[in-house]
Amino acid sequence: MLVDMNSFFASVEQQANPRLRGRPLGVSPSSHERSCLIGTSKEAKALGITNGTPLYKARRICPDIIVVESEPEKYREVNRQINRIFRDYTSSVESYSVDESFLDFRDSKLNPLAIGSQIKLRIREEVGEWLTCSVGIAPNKFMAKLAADLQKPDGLTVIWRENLPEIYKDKKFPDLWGINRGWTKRLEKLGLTNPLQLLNYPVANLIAAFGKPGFYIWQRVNGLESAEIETHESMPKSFGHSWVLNFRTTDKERLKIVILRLAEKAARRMRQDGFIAFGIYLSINLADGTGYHRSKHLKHSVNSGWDLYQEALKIWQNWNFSEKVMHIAVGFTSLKFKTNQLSLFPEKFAQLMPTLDRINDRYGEFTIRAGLLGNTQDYAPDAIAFGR
Amino acid sequence: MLESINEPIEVMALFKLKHTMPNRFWWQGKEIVIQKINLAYSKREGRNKFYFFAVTDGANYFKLQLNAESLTWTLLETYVE
Repeated sequence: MLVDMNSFFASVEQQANPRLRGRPLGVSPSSHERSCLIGTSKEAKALGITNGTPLYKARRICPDIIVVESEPEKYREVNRQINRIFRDYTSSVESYSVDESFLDFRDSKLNPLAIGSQIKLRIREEVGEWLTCSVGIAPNKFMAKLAADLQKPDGLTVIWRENLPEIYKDKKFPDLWGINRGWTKRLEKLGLTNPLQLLNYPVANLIAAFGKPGFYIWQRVNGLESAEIETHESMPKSFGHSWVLNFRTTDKERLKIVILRLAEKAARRMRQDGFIAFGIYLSINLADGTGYHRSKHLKHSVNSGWDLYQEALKIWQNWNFSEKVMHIAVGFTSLKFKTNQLSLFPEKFAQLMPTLDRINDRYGEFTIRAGLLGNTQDYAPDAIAFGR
Repeated sequence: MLESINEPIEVMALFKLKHTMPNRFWWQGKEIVIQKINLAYSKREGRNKFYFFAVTDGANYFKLQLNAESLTWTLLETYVE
């Protein structure tokens, strides 16, 4: 079963403030005209204003649209409350994203249709009367997602493999979960332009053309996916932060400070989870759509924001930006759990990081920070991922 | 539109077993009786914790904040047409 909260961020804002209900509403991480809406209400969607629409475009479509700044803690709290309801029915819950969760009832005697109906009711009664969800019930995750997407908002849909030909009649490849534009182009080269054709296509031809990924695509589209519900967090591959800047510039001195702030945030999370890194990455996107991206493996381990910042500066010393920078991402890769083994050569700053962390734990993030980070509190504020 | 207020206020609240419920508050010389708590959530800043209450008095929306360390209340914002 997939429970997909409808227009989640905007609905939570409308739940909090009833004066926003029934109106075109956008949720944005910043008030900068070029920042993109991370959430739009059902009323805004009806006007063609979807998630990802830049603020200035949304205002051009609907001058009366109300835009509120996102409050990640608000969405996390609602997510926690909803997940508590799910766990009353099954311990097998995968929080796929902040607004989508998979629930497994394959080994349960409960009737998923009745549970789906109860969950919808309980979310409205116990979390907020304005919050609706679309529930999809099917034999596997891909089909549950397909089912939930069939009825939005406020749906409850059950599908079986036998229903797939009928469902695919009106679908295109990008409508299906996990089939992106790249796959659409690849499949088009084989003469396949819609999911219905893929349903009856010889799997051997797909394997010959694309190898194993070709099989997995065929398996999904045919309703035979075997992916399990992931109830535990898997080992992270990276810790990073990114930010769509609330200003545009080519000035590297100003951009350096953003990199340091993002690096410090990534490093705090990595240390809290007990990792060190042997690799880093830096990615810069320019306003014209081009960008610079590089990762680097290190011979030594790093675990501080300052280390990441220094390594990132080594990468970008030869980059010169002809266009203004609009997005920066920086982070750690090649992770290993930090062990407490004593070093043969005592580390000069071994106690520094734990001490700084304790101060920031107690008094708040960036209470103690590098001098470069003075007056940067509006750089890369707390944010929430709106997809996965 | 949302109007930022950020003023300290006096609040009467019920501290129940599992949660806190602001009941009424006084602002601009008026007593405002809370009809409904639409959403409650919290946020940590270091060791301090702030609780937020999005409430209505039947007609108007208000956002209240309780500072758990100083036990003081602030009216953060309201919504005016």
